[in-house]
Amino acid sequence: MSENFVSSVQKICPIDGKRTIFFAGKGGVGKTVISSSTAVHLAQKGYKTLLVSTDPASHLSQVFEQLIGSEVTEIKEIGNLFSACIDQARAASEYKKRILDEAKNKYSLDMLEAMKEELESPCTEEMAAFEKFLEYATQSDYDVTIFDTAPTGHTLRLLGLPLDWGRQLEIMVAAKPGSEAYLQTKVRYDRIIKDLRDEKQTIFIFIMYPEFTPIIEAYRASTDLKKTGIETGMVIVNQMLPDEYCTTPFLRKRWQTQQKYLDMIKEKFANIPFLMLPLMDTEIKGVSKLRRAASILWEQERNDVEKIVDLK
Amino acid sequence: MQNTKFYFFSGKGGVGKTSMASATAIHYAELGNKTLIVTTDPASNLSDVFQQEIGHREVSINGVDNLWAMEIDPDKAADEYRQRIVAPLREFLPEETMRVVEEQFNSPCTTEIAAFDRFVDLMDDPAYDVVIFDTAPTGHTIRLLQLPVEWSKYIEKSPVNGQTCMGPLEAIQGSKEKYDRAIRILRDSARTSFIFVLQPEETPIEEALRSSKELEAIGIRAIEIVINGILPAEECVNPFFVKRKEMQDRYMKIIDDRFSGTSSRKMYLLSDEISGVEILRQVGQMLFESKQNQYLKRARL
Repeated sequence: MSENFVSSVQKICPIDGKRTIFFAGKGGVGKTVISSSTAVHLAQKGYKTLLVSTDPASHLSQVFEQLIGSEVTEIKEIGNLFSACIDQARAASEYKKRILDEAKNKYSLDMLEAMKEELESPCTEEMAAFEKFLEYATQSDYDVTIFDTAPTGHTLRLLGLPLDWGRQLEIMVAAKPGSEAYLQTKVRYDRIIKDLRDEKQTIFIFIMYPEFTPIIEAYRASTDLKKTGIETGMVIVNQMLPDEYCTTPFLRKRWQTQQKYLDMIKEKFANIPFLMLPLMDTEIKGVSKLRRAASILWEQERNDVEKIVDLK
Repeated sequence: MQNTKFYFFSGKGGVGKTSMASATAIHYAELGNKTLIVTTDPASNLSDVFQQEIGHREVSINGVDNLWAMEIDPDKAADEYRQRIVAPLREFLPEETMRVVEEQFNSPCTTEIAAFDRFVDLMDDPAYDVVIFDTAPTGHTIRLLQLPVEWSKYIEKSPVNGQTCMGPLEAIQGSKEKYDRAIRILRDSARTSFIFVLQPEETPIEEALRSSKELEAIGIRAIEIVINGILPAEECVNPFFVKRKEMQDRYMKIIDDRFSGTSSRKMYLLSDEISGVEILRQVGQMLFESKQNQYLKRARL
């Protein structure tokens, strides 16, 4: 096994205690499937793993063929594996309730009425979802927490939020700078940002197809992350066409184009470990297909055509 | 596609929205319509597809008459929005109140609202015959499209002297009329078409179905679909691709069934990447004139 492969496999495992893994990349490049396969792999290795989707249009339930909602659900067929999707509407109503309950004894009726109006704003949902994300990011019950993040631009904005957060909170709960509530929140957000930047705790993995646009978008997003002090830890190239099956001139041309873009990935993401997940003959759906994808990706199993005999 | 003034392309990320929207834009521009293609996606790739710099202001596309393009930059839109609404208040509001107003305009939602505001302006712009929106991925798009409905409610609900996260009430009251008009246009099938791009795979189909239901819930029914990335049968000559083709065929049937009564177009996988005006023009012909076979033959040579 190559040095690149060994170091990639090591990079997703907990180093001292905990590991948080973020999957990033353009919409549709396979973030959900790859984050699910990675969760299956780590859970099978014995790590207690939590897989969280922050995408408002998440399809984790479809991939696992099991209902996954806003409450943490155990994936029984795997063991050690738990999953949840952040439900924005629900997060928003919990968030509103919590803020109003906290404020009830502290402020005048007029003030409460004004806060109530303020909380009806459409922004409450976005902020509530972020609060929920922080809740998962800071809990200590799991060895590994995996975020199947929303598409790139959205993710970056989500991660950029804490910088403005103090100001938001000040308006929302009328917590003045210097007040205890304000300080507590600030300390919490500062710690989150610090953890995101700490490569011992957190890894950002970019997923892309070997095509121009997904590579360029990942490269831009990775550069943006770097500006906020976050390094890209790994690259996964998805849907590589299997050489041996590209037998017509049409498919050879597509294969050659992919090879050209593979070179571009190696150049743009130089010195960053990368793995490849080949295109498979079926879609990756259901626990047994996820296991297969996990062993191809993380254990270098062969990508054979399954049950060819069935075709005859 | 039905001839309307506005086209919205929607669908799960990666299904080819930008390519299909760009090919459609070239098609309408070359029929002689003054056409604008615009994206509200913060991670847009129109520049890559047209192989030329496209920014926050309309630029004319090289090599295609009548075609302009722009990428709405949410941060710049937010600055402009702040300037437009905050600056005039400075004259008559005390320093302290101004500080509160300005703080409210640093909220993360201002950016989103400002981008939408810009996009509504374009819907009111009489300069174009056809405007094509290459929208952001589905979940986000839907929320964006639902926003005007929520804002209208929100504006109605706010107390007369209230402050909102969109800014001081009096400054946004004028916006209500504008957003109501935008909703009417979105709901009017004589003026607006929604095109869902999908691929013959489960998730893109589910997502298109879910989104079309969400659109119907807010009164939008003019929906068409483009099925993209279909494997050409003649290329599937070994077990691996035979199996993938079988999978696609299964999903083609599901699409027929789930979207029965919806007008649909097919787009086959090409041997080349869809980038640059020349290939986009050919994709447009395939979409609108069913020139699939001729092109596929040429691509193989």
